[in-house]
Amino acid sequence: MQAILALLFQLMTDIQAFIEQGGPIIWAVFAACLLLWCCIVDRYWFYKIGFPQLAQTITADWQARSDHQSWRAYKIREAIISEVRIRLHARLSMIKTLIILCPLLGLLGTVTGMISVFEIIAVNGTSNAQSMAQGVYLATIPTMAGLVVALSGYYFSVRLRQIADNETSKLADKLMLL
Amino acid sequence: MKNLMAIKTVWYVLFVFMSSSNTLWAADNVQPISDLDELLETVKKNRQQEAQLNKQREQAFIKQKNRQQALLAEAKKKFEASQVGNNPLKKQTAENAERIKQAQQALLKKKQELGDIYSIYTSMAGDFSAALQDSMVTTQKPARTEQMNALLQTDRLASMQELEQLWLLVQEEMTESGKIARYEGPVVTRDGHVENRDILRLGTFTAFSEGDFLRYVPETGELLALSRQPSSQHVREAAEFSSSAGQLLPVVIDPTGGSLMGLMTYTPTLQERVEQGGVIGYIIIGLGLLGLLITLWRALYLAFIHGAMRRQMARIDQPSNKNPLGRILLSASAFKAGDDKIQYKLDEAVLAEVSRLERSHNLIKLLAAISPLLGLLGTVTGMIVTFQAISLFGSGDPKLMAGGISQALVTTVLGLIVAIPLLFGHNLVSSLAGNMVQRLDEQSAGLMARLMESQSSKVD
Repeated sequence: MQAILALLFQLMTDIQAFIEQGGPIIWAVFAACLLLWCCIVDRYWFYKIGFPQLAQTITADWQARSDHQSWRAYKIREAIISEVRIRLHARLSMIKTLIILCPLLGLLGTVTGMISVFEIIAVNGTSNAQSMAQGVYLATIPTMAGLVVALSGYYFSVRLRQIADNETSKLADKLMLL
Repeated sequence: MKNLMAIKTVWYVLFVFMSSSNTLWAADNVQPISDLDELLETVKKNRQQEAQLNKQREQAFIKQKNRQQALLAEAKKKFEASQVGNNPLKKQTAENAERIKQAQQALLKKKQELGDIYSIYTSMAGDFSAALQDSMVTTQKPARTEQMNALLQTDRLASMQELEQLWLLVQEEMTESGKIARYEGPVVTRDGHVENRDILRLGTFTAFSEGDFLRYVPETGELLALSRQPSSQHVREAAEFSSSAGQLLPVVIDPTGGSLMGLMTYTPTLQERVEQGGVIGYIIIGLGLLGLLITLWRALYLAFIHGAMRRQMARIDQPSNKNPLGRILLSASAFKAGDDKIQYKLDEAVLAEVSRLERSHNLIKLLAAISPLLGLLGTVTGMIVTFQAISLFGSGDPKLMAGGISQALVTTVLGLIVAIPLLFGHNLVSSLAGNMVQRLDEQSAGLMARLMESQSSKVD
């Protein structure tokens, strides 16, 4: 137990040091990362747990209808499928946008870091490489973090879209028109 | 032959004449010699006389020699006697020489030790005078510098008194550096005047005066009011600290003795940073504000419409023309189910709504795309400025290039800062609108159908 606590503490201090070296932009990247992964986890949760139940009730409702052939039934089915598609595809565009945003945030970090490097040059001249290194950290760490977050989310953004499309067409198949 | 005989005769005469003249010189008063016998007699007589004379001289020599010998013996005796007195003296001389040598060695050693002390003293004094120069305490006790200079300028070996003075100065500096002191002294104000003000000094780190943070300039030994004060919270804390009497209060100090505070005056404020971006920076900011306003407007509008549609869905049998769904339902209400025309009518109504719902979305996207490009433009113009500076002044002084570089970087930053929220906003707005359009497009017909169903079941 104590070992786990110590490990956690070590991890916390490591993260803190990382954030301190990366400057304020790291917080923005961190927020984007958190949002991205909340969305991804939320989607998986919905696809594995929430959606099957929903699909069951929708199919049961449809089966309970007496009329499966008329223009009205056709339109109602379309409306149901469209509603389901909206629910399945919700937040996917947010995930996509976040994946585009993260490298941009990293780039922002690069440029602000470069500004601090040039500020140091303006004050100290180019002789003190040690003080410039701090600015270089500010520049490179957010870039790296942004890229890591974007790359980590990229697979899921594609995969989740596939799952959403698949589930939509599966449900459409279940709502049979006789 | 006759000739030869004649010469012999002449020689002979000459010889006789000569020998007679010789005797004449030897005995001056002797009567002149008349014949050869007499000459012989005279010679014999002379020889006798000479032998006698020689004997006399010999005797005199011998006598002399004996006397010399006696003198020598006497002198030898004297020498030996004096030697007896001399030997102890000689020994003493040698001893004295030895003692001189030892004393000289001791002196040399002593000199070396003293030299070490002196060199330590001078180096200590030099170091400490630099430390004094750098120390803020000097503004409180300006007399110390002169004292220090006097200590530094001695050519002789340092005296005990001087050593003690240095020691006392070091000790004073140590004690003062641990004190919070209040005194009155000259302060260079922000507009360049020198004023006598109350100064509160915290050790050798920081000084305040009337709520201003001061910076110590070692070169001139003056306290400067910082042209840019730290954040207002720190200034307030400093003012509270100055007016307090011995309470514990938090306050900011600069452990580098003012150089960090000095650097702070170089860091530009947000406004100055924005100004560094130049015209392009302002254009980017303007476009960003425009984009944000549009996004805000669209988001509020869509949220409002969303609510209205929700309410309309709850009361599907009473379509109102104040929301898109209601308008679509109204447009199709004249038709009966199964009629082909109803689909056309619905599609037409949805198309009319789509343009209204998605208005300005492309503008937001355009602005989000343009702002990084403008940032790039600013980068390039900043680089042009930089290279102009290089071609004029060379690359020797990086500070001359800093203006162009900061323009380049600030515009890039501004472009990104504008692009990121706009992209996010565009995503929000367009997904809201997209969902609504999808609902209208595909669900209005379904709603109509449900409505018709429920109406027909009521009729049944």
